[in-house]
Amino acid sequence: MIHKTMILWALFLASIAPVLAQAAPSAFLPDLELSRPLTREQADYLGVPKDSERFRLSEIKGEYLLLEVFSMYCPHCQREAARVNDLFRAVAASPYAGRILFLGLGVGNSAYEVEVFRQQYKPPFPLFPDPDFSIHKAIGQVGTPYFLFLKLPGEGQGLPILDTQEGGFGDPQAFLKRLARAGRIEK
Amino acid sequence: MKLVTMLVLILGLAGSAWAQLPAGEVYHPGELKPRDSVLRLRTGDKAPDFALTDLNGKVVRLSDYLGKKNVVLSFVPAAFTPVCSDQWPGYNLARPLFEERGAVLLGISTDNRPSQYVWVQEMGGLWFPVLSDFWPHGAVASAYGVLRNDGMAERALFVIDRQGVVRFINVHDINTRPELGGLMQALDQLR
Repeated sequence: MIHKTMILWALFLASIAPVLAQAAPSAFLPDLELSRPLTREQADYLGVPKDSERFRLSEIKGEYLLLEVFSMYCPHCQREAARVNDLFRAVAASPYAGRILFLGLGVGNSAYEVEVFRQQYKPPFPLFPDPDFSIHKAIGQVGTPYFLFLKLPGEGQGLPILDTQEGGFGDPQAFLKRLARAGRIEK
Repeated sequence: MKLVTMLVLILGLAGSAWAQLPAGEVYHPGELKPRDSVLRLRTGDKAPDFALTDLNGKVVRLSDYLGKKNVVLSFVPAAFTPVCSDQWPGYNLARPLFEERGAVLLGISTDNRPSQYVWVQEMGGLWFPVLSDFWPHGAVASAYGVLRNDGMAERALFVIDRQGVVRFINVHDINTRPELGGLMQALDQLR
């Protein structure tokens, strides 16, 4: 009986190993460089100089960054867009306002395509194109939508990844609580 | 106690199986030959007329739009494949851009109608007609010179003006998505 139990335990652990592997993200995100003309509002929001053509994530003036990896063409991203905006408003109305910043990355999207997405869904945070998927590759070619919760300004190895979410995150308030726990953010 | 342990282990084994359900609903064909056809048309040619059925079985003809609308034909290779399954939902967002340029969009693949129907439902619906070029297989794709040797259509865009003349052709690398801005620029030339 003990022998059978040990075999079952071994099978159990082997079967959940892939699930556990999926649940453990990389520890750090490379300090990505982004470039596009910024409006004054976007530059002020991110805390980077308006006339800077390029900047790194580590230069963003915030404590935490929620990076959304999306595509204009992704129907799941389209369906999630309103909820992401709700999450932004939830943060703005919370004790974490100004501490958690948002940024969207349109993988495989040109500047034109990112603008189409922005015009449709009006996210109140900056969106950046990644037309040749180069940033997408650096992130790990994740599916969309994908959310990375990062600690700013980062460390030598990059930006610590505090949490990730593939696909929709459900209730914005619940997700905000989850992010606060992941970041151990005190009110 | 041993019974409880066994139950927990059995449920855990079953649960982990549930956790590993496929992440997406598409078939990944791998990297394909970017292009595998010979174009039969050039800009300035009269676009071949056709009659294909949409998802409701209604016959749609290119000539239905003569004198009325610019027409964008979007050929895609196959239902339930990655690039196709996000190219057309992207055009949902772009509907106002097509309409303000006086254009209709017709989606065409060589899939049969039942496959297209389920695929479109899974994509959440589309605003434009989706036409089946299944039988005679790929006849329209062939007439336009975009039928591949494996029976799929190329990933191709044709812009046809109100006089039925081809004004823009983009037979794109089948593995990547054509950029929307270029298509809109082509439609802007017809204003």
